[in-house]
Amino acid sequence: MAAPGGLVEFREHVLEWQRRVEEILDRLEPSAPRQLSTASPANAHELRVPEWPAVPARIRACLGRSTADAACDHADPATGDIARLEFQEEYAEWRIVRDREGRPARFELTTELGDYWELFAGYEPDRALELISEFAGVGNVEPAAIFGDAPAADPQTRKRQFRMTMLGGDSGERAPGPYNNGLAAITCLSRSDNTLAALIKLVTASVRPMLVHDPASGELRFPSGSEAISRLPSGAAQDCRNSDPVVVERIVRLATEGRLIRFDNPIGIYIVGVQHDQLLTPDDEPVPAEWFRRWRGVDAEDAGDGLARHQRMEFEVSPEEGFTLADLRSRRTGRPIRWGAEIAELVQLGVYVRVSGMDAIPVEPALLPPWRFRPCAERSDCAKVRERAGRLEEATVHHEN
Amino acid sequence: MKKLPSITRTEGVVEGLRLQPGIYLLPEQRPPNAFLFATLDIAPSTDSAAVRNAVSEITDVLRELQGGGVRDLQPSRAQEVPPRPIDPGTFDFLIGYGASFFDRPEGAQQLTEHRRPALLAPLGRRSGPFSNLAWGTDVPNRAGEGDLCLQLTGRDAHAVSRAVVEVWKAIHDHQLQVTLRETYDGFARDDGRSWIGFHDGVSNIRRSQRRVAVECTGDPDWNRGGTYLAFLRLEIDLATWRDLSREAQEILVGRDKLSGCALEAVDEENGRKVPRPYAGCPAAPGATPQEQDLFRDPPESGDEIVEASHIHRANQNRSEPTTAAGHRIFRQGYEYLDAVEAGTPRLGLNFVSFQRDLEDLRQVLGLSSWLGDVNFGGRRDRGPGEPSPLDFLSLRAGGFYAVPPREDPFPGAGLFG
Repeated sequence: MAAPGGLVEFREHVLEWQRRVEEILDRLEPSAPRQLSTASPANAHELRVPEWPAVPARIRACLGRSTADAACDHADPATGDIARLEFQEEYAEWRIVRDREGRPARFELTTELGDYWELFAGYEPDRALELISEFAGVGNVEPAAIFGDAPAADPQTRKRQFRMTMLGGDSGERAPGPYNNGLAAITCLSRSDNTLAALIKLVTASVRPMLVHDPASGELRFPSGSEAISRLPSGAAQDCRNSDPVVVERIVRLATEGRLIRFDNPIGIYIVGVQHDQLLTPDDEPVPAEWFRRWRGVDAEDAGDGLARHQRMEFEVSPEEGFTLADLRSRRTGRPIRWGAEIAELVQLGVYVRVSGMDAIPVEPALLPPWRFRPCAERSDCAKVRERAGRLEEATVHHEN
Repeated sequence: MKKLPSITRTEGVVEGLRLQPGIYLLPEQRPPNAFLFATLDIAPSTDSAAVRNAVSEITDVLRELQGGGVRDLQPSRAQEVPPRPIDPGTFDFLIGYGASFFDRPEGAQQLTEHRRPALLAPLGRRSGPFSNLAWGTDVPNRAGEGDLCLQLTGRDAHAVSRAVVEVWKAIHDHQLQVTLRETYDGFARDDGRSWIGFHDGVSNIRRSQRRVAVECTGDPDWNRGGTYLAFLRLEIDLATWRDLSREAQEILVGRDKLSGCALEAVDEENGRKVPRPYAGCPAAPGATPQEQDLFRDPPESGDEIVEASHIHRANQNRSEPTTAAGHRIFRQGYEYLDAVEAGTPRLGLNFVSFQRDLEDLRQVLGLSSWLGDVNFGGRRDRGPGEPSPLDFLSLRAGGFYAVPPREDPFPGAGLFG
């Protein structure tokens, strides 16, 4: 298994990444269906890309668009982007850099897995420091800023140091440091559910043939994401997000079609599109694609299969243009850009899976009973989202111009 | 006389359904034959009370007409006998509120204390609303964008046209502070095909799932139980389309032209691209869901050329409407023929969609792997022998509207405070 994005910076230590992926897969192996365990590059090579916008759908459903967009940018002068940990739950996390007046000046988004960065920093500490310096736009970063102390001599200890300093500890019990909390930079995903294990569990748990009997039409149909999630093991997927329901729905359908299914190599969350032309300059011209820097992964022309695999995106307006990001207008709303969510909604993410043709393996779909959809805004977990948003509102200042 | 299906008449059948009539999403409903879309403007000096009165009056006139009553034909002299009423129930109407209802021009009176919903925005002139769907030439400013809109759907052209004329009479007779700006007509085809000759609406949302796709659940609260309407009057350059071979057309659409069956692959034969529909389509009665979906909602084929066709681009994630990232919208389009100019018919589609969130339509028409990087279908980086992703659709008029739920005395009355 190659490193996420096809990155080669890991050199021979990429075996450590491979081991990490295998460990997680092995833990799931006893219950893995044959559609998953028997899939290989030889028998499952058709590409499928469940894709979703990076903006948190569940948070918007619970809080309403304008409140949610503001809430997602809540920052604390001491601990940074605390709203990121609370709300940015679509396998993408961003920070927005603001100017002195609090206006947005730069947007950075990452889908890089913390698991990868923990290993990378453990085995390639100097290269990790170089990259983080580049993320932060500074000459160099003191090692203590990402390792909490002088980097230890052995990789295992460095991994732990990085995890404690940059990823919030073993279970997210502490806030990430400034190079991953938005104050100085954003390096990689930091939420406890934006992880490699969560991604693998989400996909593998969905390899279940299912059908729903539709009482209105009398037909059998493929289940919606919500319907399928209700049948998955607890914690495998969260309904009402952009990401989980669409991944579950797509994978369940592929499984029900009798296909063999496997992760594409390398596994990762990739930026599959950016609607750059949905942002307009003060002259009413669409923003060119080149203003969005997509990197931390292989370009399409350099990939053997022609697939781009980028994991980081940075966007700002060059000073030569004579205006800033805050002067841009959304083509969708007709209003100036104020929040990171208004850019995140233009970023499309995807997970690449490979499948066989239909009917490659006999399946017996579970028949689901009728299920009545309850709007996300009316569900009990929304009360918690509102409570958390209210708490943040009281505890922090957000940079509203 | 056969009565039109109408949500009004199914009231109580579907629990809690408050959508305005004219959105034919219930299993027993079919859109009627005729369509007329009218936009109305409000004079800048008009205050909220006068607009409220105008909308209320227009609603009353249309309701009376639905019941068979024409105001001009009421007895006004002693001992006159009322004439035989006109056929009742020949049309449905729906009221929408455009972006300019909320964001009034400078110096104009504000009509509501509610903010414009963020995505209920003007389509934009210079940059246009969508990357690969440009305005046609000589399109007037704000074509299709009124402060208010009326969607009329009815038995025939007379039913919907008479309704608009009765509205005009009411405006004139009562000096209501609104003006009728423009109308756009259309009709349903009885063959289930569009002007380009292919089946249309086949992969629309299944009837049992439509309500979820259409009905707003809040944000803003005043539109809970309502919906958003998108009206895009698309002109089709039919001559350009017909210059394509049948095979090229099928590759761009993603279906067999005659049977409507979805394509599984595009084969290569003697250097030619030959579309191949799924075997087993159309499905026989009693077919499995997979077999049935070979026609309605085909599986992803794995063939890159097929995947770039219109039907796949319009629904990349193959999702049910409850899935947010599925971006499902409920389409209810009507064809039109404007005129014959210089020997060529000017025609197209009144694309009308209803959705709980305008973001879904924005995503379908904006995402590059969906319809964002093409005008209709095909691959920009096409291989030898593949048809060009033709630009043959342009926009003649269009607008987005909030369509509040039914309410007394009229939908959206609560907006006026």
